[in-house]
Amino acid sequence: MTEAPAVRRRRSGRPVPDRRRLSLASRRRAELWTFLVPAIVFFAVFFVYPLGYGVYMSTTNFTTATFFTGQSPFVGLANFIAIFQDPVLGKAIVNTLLITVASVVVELVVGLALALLFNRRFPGSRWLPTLILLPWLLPSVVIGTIWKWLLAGDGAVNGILSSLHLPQDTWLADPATALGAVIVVSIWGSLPYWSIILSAALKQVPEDQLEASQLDGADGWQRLVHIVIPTIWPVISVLVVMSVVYTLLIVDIVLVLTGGGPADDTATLGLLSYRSAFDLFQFGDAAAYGMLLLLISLAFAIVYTWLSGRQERRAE
Amino acid sequence: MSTTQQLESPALRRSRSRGWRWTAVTVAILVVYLFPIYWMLTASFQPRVSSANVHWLPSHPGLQGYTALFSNGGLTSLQVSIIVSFGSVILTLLVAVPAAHALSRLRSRAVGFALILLLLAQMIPSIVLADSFYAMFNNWGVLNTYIGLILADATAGVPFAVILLRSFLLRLDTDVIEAATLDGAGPVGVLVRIVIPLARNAIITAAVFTFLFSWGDLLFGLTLVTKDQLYPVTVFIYALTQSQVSSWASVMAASLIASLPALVVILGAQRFVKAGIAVGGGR
Repeated sequence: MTEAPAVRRRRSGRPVPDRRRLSLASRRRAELWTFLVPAIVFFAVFFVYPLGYGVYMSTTNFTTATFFTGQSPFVGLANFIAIFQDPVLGKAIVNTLLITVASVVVELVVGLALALLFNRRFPGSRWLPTLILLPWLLPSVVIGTIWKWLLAGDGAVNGILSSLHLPQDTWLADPATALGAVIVVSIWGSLPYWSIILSAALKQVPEDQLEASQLDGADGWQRLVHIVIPTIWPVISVLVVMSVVYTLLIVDIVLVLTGGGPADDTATLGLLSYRSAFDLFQFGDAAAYGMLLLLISLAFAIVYTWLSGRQERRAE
Repeated sequence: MSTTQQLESPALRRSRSRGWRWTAVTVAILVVYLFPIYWMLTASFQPRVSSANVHWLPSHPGLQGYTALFSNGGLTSLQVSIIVSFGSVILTLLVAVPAAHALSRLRSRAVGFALILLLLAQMIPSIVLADSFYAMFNNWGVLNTYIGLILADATAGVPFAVILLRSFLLRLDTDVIEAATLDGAGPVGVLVRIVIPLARNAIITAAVFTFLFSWGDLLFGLTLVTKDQLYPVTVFIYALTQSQVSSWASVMAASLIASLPALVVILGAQRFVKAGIAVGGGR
């Protein structure tokens, strides 16, 4: 209780040119900075260093031999030239973009429709909608495994189709349907997240505005376009950018479902990086693919940071 | 909150009488949407049935799918997953809680910069990290170790946890912290005795999500572990599906066990899930 006078002085709000107080404040600041040390070390060792190491590997001939000899000859841009000359890169870029655009469009439209439903008040409306999050919480390997089996030649999807007398297929092995099947599975895993986030956002739509426009004769569609969507636009824009980044990086679901096949028809950029490193042990090529992926996701990440910063500023 | 106000509005009161219809629609959507999960459950109890003949309800239920799993190394992989997931939760909290506390209390331009770095870190592709980790961990001798997996998995948890915890701690009443400081509590005392108890729910949310990230990780497990005694359960399942599958009951049993944390969370801890996704727990 010896410090009681100090309290009174501070509460009065007047700046006190007291040496002891100044040193106390700066000591406390220093203590808070100390709390940041573990995070800074972690960040440096597990984010900054690996990224630097990736840049380094992408310019060297880094193979399994490197682990024994410790030597990885500098090759300049040769890895990048090699991956750009490989026809599979074009295929992978197209696949990655198709998966991303199709997933995000469907997730936005269907997610919003589900959100509008979940946002109604009905018995169970508090906890029933949350159950849809279950697929989103499952490990991706489980998602991939269940669907790999459902979509197999003798799987449940074909079983249901045959009982309805509809044509069947070996969905994941047929070049015409494999990419579509991958997209469906990827949507199944992330749509729940969209619907729940959007239904939370819908709660911010001002009820009186909706009623006023209803009295003015606006129908449901007009209210959606002119009131609901503009209100939740900040949330939509952040969701879109975030999902684009995560879908661009898709590796694990593809790996489980098809491994990139048939004939690279479902290969993505992330998958090529994985394959170069851990199937072919060409870490230089893998790092070059990784850098390409990093550039693309960084571009979107910058947009995302800007958007979410803008949203935070608006909220404050 | 605004939801209670909405309750009072006449339009909504009118629509509440028709509410059961929307309950029926929602349940119908859930039944269709969650069908694959039900299929996994029912198939896991139908051993010795070829995949075309799985019944909607097991006619001859059996646990052989599960027992086969336990004699196959499934139990070991479960143990690896549990150790690694709890390990990365502990590591994440040790790093993130003090950092979030500092970032919520410091008034400095560096704080904004740190937050941008954290958002960017969340978006670094895991495969890029995995490529580098393999070479780095090989040099450090931590390939095929628990500690290697724990460190790698924590890269998903730390940025998320710091962002989540900081946004919660900003809303804490600072008077309590001031009072404790003036009563002579040191910085660690304030953190341990004041901040952590007050932020308990946010910390649980961060822990739950970090656990789910680590538990569900496939990429790090697949790349940083080459010995099958150290496969986490996700890699164990992946390995099962890569060979000719002889018993889907067994694969589905393993998948169901791997889904248990998600099931427990969705049925028992919905409020933490809702709190977590509100700050962008995507991944």
